[in-house]
Amino acid sequence: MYLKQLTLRNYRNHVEFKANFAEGVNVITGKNGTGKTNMLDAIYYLSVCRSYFIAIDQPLVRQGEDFFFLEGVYFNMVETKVDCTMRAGGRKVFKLNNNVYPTLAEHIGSIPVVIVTPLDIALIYEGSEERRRFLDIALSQTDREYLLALSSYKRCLEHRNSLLRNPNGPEWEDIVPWDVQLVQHGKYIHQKRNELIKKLSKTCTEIYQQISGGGDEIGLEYISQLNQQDFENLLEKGKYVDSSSGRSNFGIHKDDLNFHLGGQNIRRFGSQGQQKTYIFSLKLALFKYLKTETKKAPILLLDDLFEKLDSSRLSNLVSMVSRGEFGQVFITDTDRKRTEASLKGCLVDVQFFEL
Amino acid sequence: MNLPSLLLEEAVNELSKFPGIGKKSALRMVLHLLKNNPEDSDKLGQAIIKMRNNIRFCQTCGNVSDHEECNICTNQLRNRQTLCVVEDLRDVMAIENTGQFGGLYHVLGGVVSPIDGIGPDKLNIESLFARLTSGEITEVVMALPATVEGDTTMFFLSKRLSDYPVRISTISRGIAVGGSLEYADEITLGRAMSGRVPYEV
Repeated sequence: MYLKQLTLRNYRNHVEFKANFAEGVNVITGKNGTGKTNMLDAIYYLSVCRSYFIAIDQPLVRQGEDFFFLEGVYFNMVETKVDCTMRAGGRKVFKLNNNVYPTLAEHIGSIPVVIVTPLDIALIYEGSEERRRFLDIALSQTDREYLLALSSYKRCLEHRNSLLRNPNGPEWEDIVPWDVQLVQHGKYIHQKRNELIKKLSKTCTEIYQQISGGGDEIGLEYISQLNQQDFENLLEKGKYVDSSSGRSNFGIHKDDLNFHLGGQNIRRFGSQGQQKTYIFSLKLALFKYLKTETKKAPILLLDDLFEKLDSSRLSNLVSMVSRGEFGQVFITDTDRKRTEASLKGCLVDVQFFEL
Repeated sequence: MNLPSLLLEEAVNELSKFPGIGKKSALRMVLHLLKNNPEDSDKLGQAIIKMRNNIRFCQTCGNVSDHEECNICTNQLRNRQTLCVVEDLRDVMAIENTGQFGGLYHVLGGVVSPIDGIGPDKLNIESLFARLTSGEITEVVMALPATVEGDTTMFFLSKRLSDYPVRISTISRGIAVGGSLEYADEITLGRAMSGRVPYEV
């Protein structure tokens, strides 16, 4: 599946933009602030129903306008059209071939996408919430049951916490029914996350070796309170802590990921280039996972590809991309000559766009 | 909205408190009343006042009623061994309209939802167990919404119900009748598959 045509209206800094893309590599060049990243974000939005950069929809509408419109025409044996209209103060409406989707969950996952941007460094530097979000977005694209389990889990947790905040001390009798559901959904989420990490970990290491040319040993580890202990036991033992702190301290909402480099945490011991290589490998491992699970090659969005990598790593990466391993690829860069030089000898179609 | 009359404004404000009615719809309703005879407005007002003052809730099941006990509870022809637990009045009407259930009802008046401050004590639950003590009821059907709140309420009820010699059941969840499988959402279809039943002609 590839994106054949994209139309943007009033999306972030774009007034009106329309382009036809190649099935292979598409390079978007332009100066700072011309809207390269926003274009990638629009492609991402059409797949995942939200922006990668801004969690709420209102600020995505171009200043002074009252709506934005996105349309993508995809080709996979037949043409399908997906469009999204978002009116200021209203709700976004997604359509497939002009028919409105009853729920957005029905669309998410039908056009898999993977984005790599300089901001992904937040996965390493920010709190565990970022890393859980990475897992959730990955699994939501392949498993609708996961999306439901996750929202049910969050809802149960809210109810449970509100019972724990009871000023007269929590009534455990009322909490037990919530725990039953919390355990049911929590165990499912834990199992799915665990399976995902196992698959990603292996591919991630392989890709890292290919890009770096060997040398560094890396690892990806799933940290969860549920790894060693049964969730029911955890909740039972945690009663005292939970009631004195007035919130739930145990469960998959405390999960985290550990990124290793040579047995050490990459945040403290990795160079910026190594960190960036790690993120690339993780994202490309996600790409391969999505490709296997959905049986469609995701659209790969590479924002500012050429920052911070040394030339040998860069050429290893570019040769992976240009061998056609990754289906349709979008690359942004400020310097057209640099990209042209890097992609020389590329085996798939390359098309250049100047913004 | 700027209205030329305070009387008009008051009526519009009151009507727009209804669920699903905004200021514009309320104004349309008020203008409709103005166009018709004053007697029609009188009738409407009287009907609302009479309804609100005289309506009662069945002492036994919590359903709406014109008397102390509702028509369903007093109807001796109904199956008095089966009791269906529902969230609110609308559910009673919905199940009655199916014509498939001949037993009695019990209206909880909500489902457990701590974030909205609704605990089991705020629901019509104690009277449910009081009804079971006579021993006449042999099956309790839980027909509650398929949400986390509905599921938790069912779990809570089933625990308490296990003290009584009754069969506990829930309504099935799955494919809509007349629905094509390809249009069912995956979760519903998945549940329907895992909860499949023996085929009987």
